[in-house]
Amino acid sequence: MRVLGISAFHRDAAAALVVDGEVVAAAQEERFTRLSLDPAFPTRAIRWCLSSSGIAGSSLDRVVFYEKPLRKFERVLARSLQRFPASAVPFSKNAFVWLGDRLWIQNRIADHLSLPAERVLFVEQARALLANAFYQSPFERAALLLLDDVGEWSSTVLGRGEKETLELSFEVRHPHSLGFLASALTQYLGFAPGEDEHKLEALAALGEPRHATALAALVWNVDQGFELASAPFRFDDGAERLFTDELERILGPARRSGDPLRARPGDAAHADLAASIQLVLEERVLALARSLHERAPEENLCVAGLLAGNRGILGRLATDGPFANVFAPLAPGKSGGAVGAAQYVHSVLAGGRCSAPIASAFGEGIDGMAEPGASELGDAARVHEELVRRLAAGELVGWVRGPMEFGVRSLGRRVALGVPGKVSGAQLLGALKHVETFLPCRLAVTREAAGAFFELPERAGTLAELGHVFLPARTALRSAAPGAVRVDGRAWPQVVSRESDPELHGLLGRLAASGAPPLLWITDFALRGSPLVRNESEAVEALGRSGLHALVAGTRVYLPG
Amino acid sequence: MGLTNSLARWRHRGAWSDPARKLRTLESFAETEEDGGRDLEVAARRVTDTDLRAHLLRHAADEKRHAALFRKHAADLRARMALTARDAAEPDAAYDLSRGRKGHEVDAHGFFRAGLCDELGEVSYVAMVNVAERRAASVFALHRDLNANDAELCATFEDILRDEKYHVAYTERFLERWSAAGRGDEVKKGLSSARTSRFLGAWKRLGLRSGAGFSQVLLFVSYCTLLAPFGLLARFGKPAPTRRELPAVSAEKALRGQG
Repeated sequence: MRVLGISAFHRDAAAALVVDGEVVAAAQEERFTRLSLDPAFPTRAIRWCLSSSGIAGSSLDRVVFYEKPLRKFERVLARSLQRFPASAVPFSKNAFVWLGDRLWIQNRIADHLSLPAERVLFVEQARALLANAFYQSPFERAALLLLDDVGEWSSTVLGRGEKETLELSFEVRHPHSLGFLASALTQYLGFAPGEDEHKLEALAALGEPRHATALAALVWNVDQGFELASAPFRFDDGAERLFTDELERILGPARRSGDPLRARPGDAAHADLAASIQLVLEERVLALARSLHERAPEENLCVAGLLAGNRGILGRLATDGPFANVFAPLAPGKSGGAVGAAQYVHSVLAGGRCSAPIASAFGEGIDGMAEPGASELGDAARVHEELVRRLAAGELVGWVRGPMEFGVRSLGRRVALGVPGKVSGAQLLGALKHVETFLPCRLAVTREAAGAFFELPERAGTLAELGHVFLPARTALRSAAPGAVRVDGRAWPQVVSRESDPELHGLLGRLAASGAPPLLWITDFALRGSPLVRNESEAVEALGRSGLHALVAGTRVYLPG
Repeated sequence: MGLTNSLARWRHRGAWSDPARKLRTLESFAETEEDGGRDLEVAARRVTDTDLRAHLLRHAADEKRHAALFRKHAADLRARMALTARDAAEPDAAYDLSRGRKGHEVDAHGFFRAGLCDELGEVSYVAMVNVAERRAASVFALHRDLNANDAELCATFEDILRDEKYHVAYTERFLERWSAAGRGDEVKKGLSSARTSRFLGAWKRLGLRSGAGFSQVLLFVSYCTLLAPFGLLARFGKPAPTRRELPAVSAEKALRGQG
């Protein structure tokens, strides 16, 4: 059975193809249009998924869209009516988009793929996002927790999964949303909501949660869910500002983008605020997890949604939550909905659970043609030699190989590397044009050596492999990787096992053999504000605009200029 | 032809009508040429024919040189007229080669930034370049005439027009070569698509903009009249639940319908 999943119109549109229960292709539209988190209908991602698998659109058995459009339209209308007459302008804009386009999505998809409209199905967003998390997890049974901004109506959903079945049992509805709360505070601090939540989280490490009580008063636990104060926030579709003057009355004036960031000892007002919201979010999510555990007393937990990308929240769930094991996929947000929707349809119609590798590399590969300026290295052994030689000499090197990964970060196939002690994590991020000095850089470490540098809780194993958590650092890390340990004593590891990535594991092993610690700074090969590079051609172009010293792509090496 | 030319001259004369607009137009040309050069460089890396690759690289270098020439004229004008940044940034009738809206998603040609060769394929890409260069040659000739009183700028346009001849010639040669090799249908389709999209593009944009504006006004009026009673009722009605237990739904039912 061939099922194509599609997610679009919110953030990070994507397409995924499932054939006979296996994900054979998946791609985010942003990688083709080069627009970060592109929400547009993913025509290019669809085209790539189909052409790479040699399948015509008309021969698909089913196509599934990751949300129920009528239910979402109902919310847009209901919220407009509730805010009458203040919603006049947003209503006319929203209704135009819905009446002119979104409500006809079934026919649009059918026309685009030349297949009958009856073959186009719809699944709720919560179900699609949770299916993506559950089917990718190594668990047969698990409790399910969606922590998103909004789908149709739901912002937060509790449920349970067993084999291929998913049961959703409780929802918190728009506008009560922890995801939107995080986005509103992200915007309040002058960053882009829906994109820069990771910056809020990174900033939190530099501050003290002095405003936690004031912020906690804006979101309170009710029954098994929570409610948000309505006056300080505005979460309606089309709202450009997610907070009102009331929030500024409570917390003081918002920081505007470009204003100086106050995150230094003695003047850490912005960092304090970030630390406060981070703490409030962690506490609310832990309360939700406890409610969920009462409903679904399982050993395992799968998390999806916008906040499933928050490393602090996942870390707290792993260390302080009621579940023994926690899992979040590499694409926990809207793009993952395309994969989850396709997997869910396959499970329902064909029976049996879909399988997908945890590190999801189903994207475009490095093609065979060299770019101008390439020097051929020959084989994998020479590639490793070249990488070790350059890295040991203190160079910052881009490394591009194999198929592209699907998700929020690259674990090794589209990355930039540096050796701790020779260069700093900030230098590596700076080479890719990141200007925020407070952003942390990941450290790749072999599974065998991880215990020497990090306190590895047993139940955070998979999360640490996917780079999903900050972990307490041991003393050895402070000398081996100066600058890696944050003020709170934690660092950001990516644990690499021989099974998950033999090439990266091998490279770390060679470094260790040369006398260096088996550690590497590792970050996505993406210039600031741009998506990950897709292929060799884009990597060469990005090399020219970056401050990297070299690029190794497949078995070829490139130098800038 | 004479009438069309006169109309075009009348339409574009505003782009040079005062120093601020002239500056904006020069900068817009520079940006367009630079974007084009970048896209041609990407295309050069993607094509398989080494001969075509060499032509595309030379073409890319030409576009970059043109961008530098326009930027130099703009800088000279800015210095001569002591124009401020604000003067240059004000919206005006500066000419954009594509007449497409320049936004985050498109380059100055009005095309997606992704690299057109990836989008279109080799044959359609060269067909598109051929059509675009023919069009650019006539546009630059028009602007040369409109700047008859500026000898230096006229000379620059002349210089660029010589390059445009080469760009049209080499793309035409490849299209002929492919046609002779049995790929005539692909070539015809590519040329037709490039011409049609340019011709229809302007009408589509005009239609979409005016249609969208008109529809939004109608929806605003509906909101204030038809929806007003429901809006008032909603304000006094029972608030929607903030959370709820979800009913058990069979897997098949979960896939049924859009609502």
